[in-house]
This record gives sequence, C-alpha cells and structure tokens, in this order.
Amino acid sequence: MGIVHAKDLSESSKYQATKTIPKVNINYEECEETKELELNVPARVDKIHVEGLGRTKNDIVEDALKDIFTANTFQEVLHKTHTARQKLNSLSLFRNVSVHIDVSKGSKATKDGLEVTFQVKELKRVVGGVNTQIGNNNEGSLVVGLKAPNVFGRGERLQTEYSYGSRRSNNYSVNFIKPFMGKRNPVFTAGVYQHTSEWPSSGYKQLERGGLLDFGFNSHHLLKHNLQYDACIRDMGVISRNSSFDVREQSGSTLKSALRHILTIDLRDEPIFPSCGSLLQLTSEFAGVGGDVGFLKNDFYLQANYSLMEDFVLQGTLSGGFMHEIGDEKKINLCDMYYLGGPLSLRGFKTRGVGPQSDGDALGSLCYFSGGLHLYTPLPFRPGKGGFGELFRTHLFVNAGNVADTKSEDVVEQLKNNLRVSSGIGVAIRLGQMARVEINYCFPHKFEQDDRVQEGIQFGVGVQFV
Amino acid sequence: MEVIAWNGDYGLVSICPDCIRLITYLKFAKVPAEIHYKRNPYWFSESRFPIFRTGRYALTQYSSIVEQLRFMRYSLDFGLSCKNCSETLALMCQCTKMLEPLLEYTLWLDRSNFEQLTRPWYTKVMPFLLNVLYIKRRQSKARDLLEVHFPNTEDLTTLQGYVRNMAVDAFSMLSTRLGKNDYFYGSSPSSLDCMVYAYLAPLAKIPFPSKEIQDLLKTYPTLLKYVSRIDEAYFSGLRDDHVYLKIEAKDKQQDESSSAPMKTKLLALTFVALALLGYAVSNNLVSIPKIV
Amino acid sequence: MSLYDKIQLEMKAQEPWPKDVRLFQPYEVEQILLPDNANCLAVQTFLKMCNLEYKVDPRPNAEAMSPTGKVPFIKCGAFIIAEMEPIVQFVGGKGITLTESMSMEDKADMRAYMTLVNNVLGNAEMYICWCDDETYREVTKARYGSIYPWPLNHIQVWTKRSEELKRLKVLGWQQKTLEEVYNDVETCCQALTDRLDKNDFFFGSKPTELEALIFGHLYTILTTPLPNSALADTVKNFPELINLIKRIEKTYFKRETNH
Repeated sequence: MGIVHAKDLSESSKYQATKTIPKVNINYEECEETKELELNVPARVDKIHVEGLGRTKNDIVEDALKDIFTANTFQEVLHKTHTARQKLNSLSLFRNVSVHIDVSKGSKATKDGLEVTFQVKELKRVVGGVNTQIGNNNEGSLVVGLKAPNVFGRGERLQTEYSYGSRRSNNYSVNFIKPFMGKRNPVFTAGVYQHTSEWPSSGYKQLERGGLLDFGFNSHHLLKHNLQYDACIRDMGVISRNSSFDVREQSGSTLKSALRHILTIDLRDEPIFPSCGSLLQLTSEFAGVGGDVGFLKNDFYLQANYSLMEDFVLQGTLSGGFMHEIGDEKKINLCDMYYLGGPLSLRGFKTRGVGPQSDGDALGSLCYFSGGLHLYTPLPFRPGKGGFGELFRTHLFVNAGNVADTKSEDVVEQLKNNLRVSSGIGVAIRLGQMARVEINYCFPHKFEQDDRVQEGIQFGVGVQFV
Repeated sequence: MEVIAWNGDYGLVSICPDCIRLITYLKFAKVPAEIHYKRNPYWFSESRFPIFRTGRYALTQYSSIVEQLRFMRYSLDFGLSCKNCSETLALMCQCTKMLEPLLEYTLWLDRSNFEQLTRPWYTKVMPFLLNVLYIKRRQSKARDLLEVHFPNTEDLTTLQGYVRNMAVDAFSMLSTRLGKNDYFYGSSPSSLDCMVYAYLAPLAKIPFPSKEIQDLLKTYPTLLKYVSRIDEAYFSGLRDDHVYLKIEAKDKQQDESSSAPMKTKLLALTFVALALLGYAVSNNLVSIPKIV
Repeated sequence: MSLYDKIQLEMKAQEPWPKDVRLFQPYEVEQILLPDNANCLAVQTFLKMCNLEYKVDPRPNAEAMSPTGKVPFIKCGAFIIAEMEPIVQFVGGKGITLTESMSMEDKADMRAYMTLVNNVLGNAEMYICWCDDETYREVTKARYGSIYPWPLNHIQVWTKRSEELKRLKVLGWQQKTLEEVYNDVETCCQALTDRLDKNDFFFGSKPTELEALIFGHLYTILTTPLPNSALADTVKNFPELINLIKRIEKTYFKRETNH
C-alpha cells in the first residue's frame, strides 16, 4: 500500500464555512512508492471498511458514512471523508477514528475506484473524570462526572455529574442523551437535577429539584432549535436574619412547569474572541402548564463582530428580556425575575445592582435591556505573539442598560429614562474553548441613587458576556 | 422480680440514667427485686436496658414499670397531696426537657468527653463489633434529641452555648425548689427525686475530661449535697473510683503537642498505599486482571 | 454587628409597642392544623391580655416565612419573633408583663406548667394530626396540601409527615397508642385542675401567659372537628377548665361558645 499525496491545484475552490483539511507532514523517504494525483481527478468510492466495531450498531455508522459514496472527484472524496469522520466523532461513539484511503483492489474494483478504511476504537463502558467548568453566573466550579457512553450502540449516553461551585452551590444531575439518525441532527435529552444556590445580593438561597426534557435539532445547518419541558420544585428561603421582609414573604416551595424554545444562529468564526460573524439567540419560555408559577418570558441575545484590521475587532452586543404575567392565580417568584448588573450583563455595577430593591436586597424586574460596544485589540507590544499572547485581549468597552416594570404603562419610555451607562478598559483572557475571564477597570457614568455601583476593578468569569 | 441493667462505674449504680432512675425507685419503695448487671443489651430480645421482669411481664418503659409496681402496691407518691402530684408532673416534664438533653450532650456529643470517656468505656465493656454498632446508634439518637430541642443549630459551639444556658436554668431551678429540704417533698423521697437523682448523679460523679458542666454543677452545693445524701442512704456499698476505664487528667499542653493517634496514621498510610498502587496500575507497572 | 448597631438595636427594642404589628399564621378556614391553631390562638390571647394592638395577616407560606419554621410569628417594626416563649420575652423587654406581682417561686411554677402543657397537649395534638391514620387521611393531608398544586401537595405532606414522625419518635411519643395519648391528656388536665383548685386563675386574680397557653390549646381541641372526637370528650370531663376557657373567651374575645 502506498501513501496518497494530493496536491491542491485549484486555489480558488475553498469551501466556505467549513474548515480545510489539516495538513500532515509526510516523510517521503519512508514511502515505497509515491504518485502525484491532481485533486480534480474523477474518483469514486467502491468500498468503505469499518474496523473495530464492537457494541456500536451498524445502522448509525452507515448513516454517517453513506454520503461518501456520492463523491465524484478526489477532492470530494477527501472532503466527504473528513466530514464523515467529524460526524462520527460528534456522535461520541468512538475514542479515536482514523481514516485510510487507498486505491481499490480486487475483482470488483472499478477504474477510478478507491477504498476507504475507517479504523475506530470504541469508548470504554464507563468513563469518569474531574474537570472544572465555568457557569454563567460569574462562578467557576469543580465537576466530577461519570459517563456511560454509547450504552445501547447508537450513541446514547448516560451521564451523572456532581459539581461544586465557588459560590457554594451544589449541583447533581443525571442525564440520558439519545442522538437520532438524520440530516437534521436531532438529539433527545432527558434528565433530572438538583441545584442549590445562594444569592447574597438578593438575600435568598434556593434549592431546585426537577426534570428536564430537551429535543434539539437543526432546521437548517446554521439554525439550531431546542424544545424543552422543564418541571422544577423550588424551595426558597432567606439567607440570613437581615434579609428584607419582601424577600422573606416569598419563602416557601413553588412548582414551575414550563415549555421553552431556544433558537440559536451562530455565524461566528469562533466563540470566545470572534473576529467576524454574528450570534443570535432567542429564548421563549411559557410557565403555567400546571404548577403555581406562571409567566411568559421572551429574551434575546445578539452579538455582531466586525474586523477593523488585523486582530482589531469591533463588537456590538445587545441583550434584553420581557416578561408577562399570566392571570392572577399563578405567581412569579424572585428567582424568575430579570436582574441587571454585574460583570456579565452591565459592567461597572455590582451583581444585581441595578433595579428595584428593598433593604439592600435586589428584587428584580420584569423587563430589561443591556447593550455594549467593545473594541478588542491584542495586548500592547504583542508579547508572546503566536502562542501564549493569543490567550489575552485588551478590551475597551461602553455598556448601557436599563430595567422597566411591564405592569405600568409605556415600557419604552421607562427604558429611555434613567439609562445606566458605564465604560472602561480591561483584559480578557480565554479559558479553554468556551469561557473567558475579564479583569476590567470601570467608570460608571450614569446611574440612579439606589444602584449599587462598582467603580474601579471588576472581575468576571463566564461564557456569555454583554 | 428482677431487673437487668447496665453496669455501673465511678460510684454510680449504673452508667445509664434510665437504669439509675428505675433502681433508685426500687430502693426508695423498698421493692424486693434482684438486680443483675449486664454488659450487652443485644443479648436480650428487648435490645435495651433496663428490663423489668416479673411473672409473665418483661417491661422496658419506665411509665409502664411504675404502673405495674403501683398495681403491686409498691408506690412512692401515696403521701403526696393532689397539688403536689400535679406539681410533680409539671416538674418531671421540665426535667425531661432540660436535664435529658444536657446529659445526652455531655456524654455523647461533647467531643472530648465522647472520644476520651464514653466511646472507650462502651468499647471496653461491650463485646467486639456490637460495641461499634451500639455506640453509633446511641450517638445518633443523642444527636436527634438535641436536634429536636435546638433545631437548625449546625455549629457545635453555638449548641454548646445553648446547652450551657439550659444547664444554668435547670440547676438554679432545682436548687431553689429543693431549698433546705432533704428531698423535694419533705423528708422522704418521691418519684421526682428518682428522676432528678438519675440525671444529676452522672453529671456529678463521672470524671468528665471536659469539665464545663461539672464545674457549673459544683457552684450549686445544695444539689451536690442532695446527691451525696442519697448515695449514703441507699448506695453506700459502691466503689468511688473507676471500675472499667481510668480517665487520666491530661495536661492542656500535652494535649496540643500529642502525636496523631494510631488511627489517623493508619488511615494516612492506607491512602498513600492506594495512591501508589493507582499510579503503578495506570502506568502499566503492575497489571490487574480486567474487570470491564 | 458593630457596637453602635447593637446599641441601636437595643434602643429600638425598648421603644413602645408600635401600631402596625402583624401576626402571621396560615389560613384559618382551609389550611391551619390543630397544633398550629392552638399556638396561634395562645399568642393572640396573650397579646389581648396585655392589651396590645395587632392585626392577623394570614399567609399560605407563613411556616416557611417564620425564622424558626414554626407559627405564629409577629412582625414588630424591624423585628420578627416566632413562637410563644420568645414573644413573651420580647414583650417583657418592652416593660409589658402579666407577672409583675408574682413571686419568683410562682414564676418558676408557671414555667413548669407551661412546659407541661406544651409537652403533653402540644405533642398529643401533633400525634393525632400526623400519627393517627384516620385523622391524617381525612383532615391533615387535605388541609396541609391545600395551598400547593399537584404533585407538590403530596410531596410536601409526605416530607412534613416524616419530619414530624421522626420528632415524635425521638421524644418517645410515636411509640404510644392512641389510648395512651388520651390517658396522658387526661392526666395533664387533672394536674391542671388540681393546681387551679377552684380558683378563677392559677396565680392570683389575674390571668397570665399560662392561662393564655391553656386557652389556646383547650379551646382549639374543643372546637376543631375531627373524625374521632375522643380528645374533645376527654377535655370535656374537666368542668373547672371549661369554665376557665369560657371566662377567658368572654373577657378577651367578647363572644360565647357552648362547649
């Protein structure tokens, strides 16, 4: 068997929105025979071998690989093989997938025929791990998890997790995830969870226990939908004797039974420091299908990035939410309200620092918006360029936001009056693939008398920032 | 008629207050019952002491035993007026509410008392393995009782403060009520005396390593004299010193610089051995037959 | 808390009784249970005896709102105090007391009898609500869960029941039979009658917090309809206590009920 080395003759044929095939360094002295093939040579795949299957069922593997047979040129073969390999990896069936393409041999071989061999190594029955995770409430946590991947052979997995957060929160969750075959990547998740958390800025602590059913799919390869049903029993209590009476009045147990739809369109080139593209996320939640909590919530998050010149990125973000009450019998609890303030939503203000409060405890609002204009630049003098320095960005920003009460008239008027504005400069540091840390020096410019302002250094950690 | 009770120590007729209460009642009422001292309640179907046996009956609840004794004409409170009887009932409720949690805390929840006195005593007295089971159950029973009386107190220091305040209230109430009398009602003992003696005698006589409550009791000489009066009159033949376990009065400095006990060392060694084994296995230095 | 804050708090505690004091308890008609009703009525009687103004504010989550998890609790300015004894102490801190002319021995006596009533009548009421299957099925379950949606009502009732059963077990009450509980109630009522000894009140010519507590428990026992009326029947055998109840009801609640 020889090694196939392909030379890309046509520079202009680069597929958009997909990554190029990674280049591999090949030592030519070790090859028995080298042959140069042009990429546009007509080729077709005669056979696909898959070695190493154990408990994985054949149909799901066939479904991922069947597209390869439609290739007509060599470049298409390479490209589709790469896509198939990515799909197999994403199904969490295997630990390792390696591909081997060779000229087709044997009695049934055609003139331009190729044989593709996938060598796969299945995942162990039970996999465990300890990692760290960043949550979106300015909290880092330690996660201990146990996963049983590929339980029935079609990519189903059962995972249990326990996490302990920096804000003394404890989470337990057990989830069962089943991906389905099909072009639209449908995935079904069912899980139960228990989550304790404390909110000193609002004076309460809560224990949530419930179950979640989630059905996710792509209606278009860029549009992801998630349909969820969430039933949760929340036990709320005051955090100390000094909590305000308004918070104490909401102590007790409530049952929230809600339907949720999340729409995500992510056109960015990368999630943490994107240089182009935009992200839109729309969430609608209707609570009131049973239980004693009822509301209709709509929120959105929009982010647009524009590259000014190399490594200088201008980013605009806008986030907002609007909540309706439903009838008199169902109530809205403190833990359902919108809170504005903090390094993730409005820099320059303490967490939950903007909005109505009682005795120093934030009570939340029914409507809010928050926007920002950011300029990301590499660190001055570019230390560690190409390596360590790429984890950092200097960050100049202007944030503005406001809250409103939807029960009274004219929400837009309320949002226009008493606008809160802040600006500042800081450093943003990438953490892994999903999160970042920000250390900013903030200057709040416009705020109300009751707001809790954070002038000076503010530290934030999270996944989604405004 | 016979009674089966826990062994005694440190000058007490029995280490368990329920047993002391019953035996004191028997002595006060001059009941001709044989008292057998045993070391293992699990040997008996009732699994707890005291056990009162007469004819076909085997009873463990104090109230049922007293009821039975009254039926057999051995009553202690026949000389009391209605008002005194009613007062006795109220005071016994108060004693149960204040003295029982106090004693349970001092014996089973106070750290140094439990580690240096209670646990070693029961470990020595009871047979192997059963002692572990009994100690665990008994301690969680004490914890539950303190939880009921002082709900939502997680911090042991705060609990200690509450218990101490309760001790002050209880001792001063009893001391005032006793006054200059020999017993709570005149010159002969009643069932209230049985209960008070059963709770006060252990607090006064056991050489606790943690002396806070005992020192507090010593500031009420009336109560100490009351305990010794009953001892002289009814329990004169008992040894004052230890029978099973000697408690050394430790120097405070010695405690702080004392080396970690054997158990901690053993635990540390086991942990290190497991860690090394895990490292060896994960680096294929040692192979273990595959389970998965 | 700084020293300045502590002094401020002390001074505020000694301010006169405000006009907007509220007493929080569960809904009387459809939610409250026998033992809670007894305690709430006892506190209300005490406040009336002290001639203190208050307003009853019924809340479904009064138990969760309370700092100790028990009802009733009062909100007096910035202070929130729950349960009878702490409320009596708090009122005493403002210089208002029903026992100023009592000797130390009488006060000690009174506290002993209050412990007796709480221990025997209080635990007997708890037993009947949560341990007695008939009452639990027909009364307690429906009332305690009435404020929650399905299935939260079942979960809350189960949780509360196991908590209460554990508590009664630790105190030695869960192991009793219903007969033994009725006997204990009878003994307690006899002890109270003996102490009352044909007088109008227990100590002197004026009622104290002991009378308020006894009124709260006995009035509730007599007027709460249960599947099994044996408890009320037991209390009805003590005419002196019934007369005491009637007297207090007439004086402080300005109404008369036939018991």
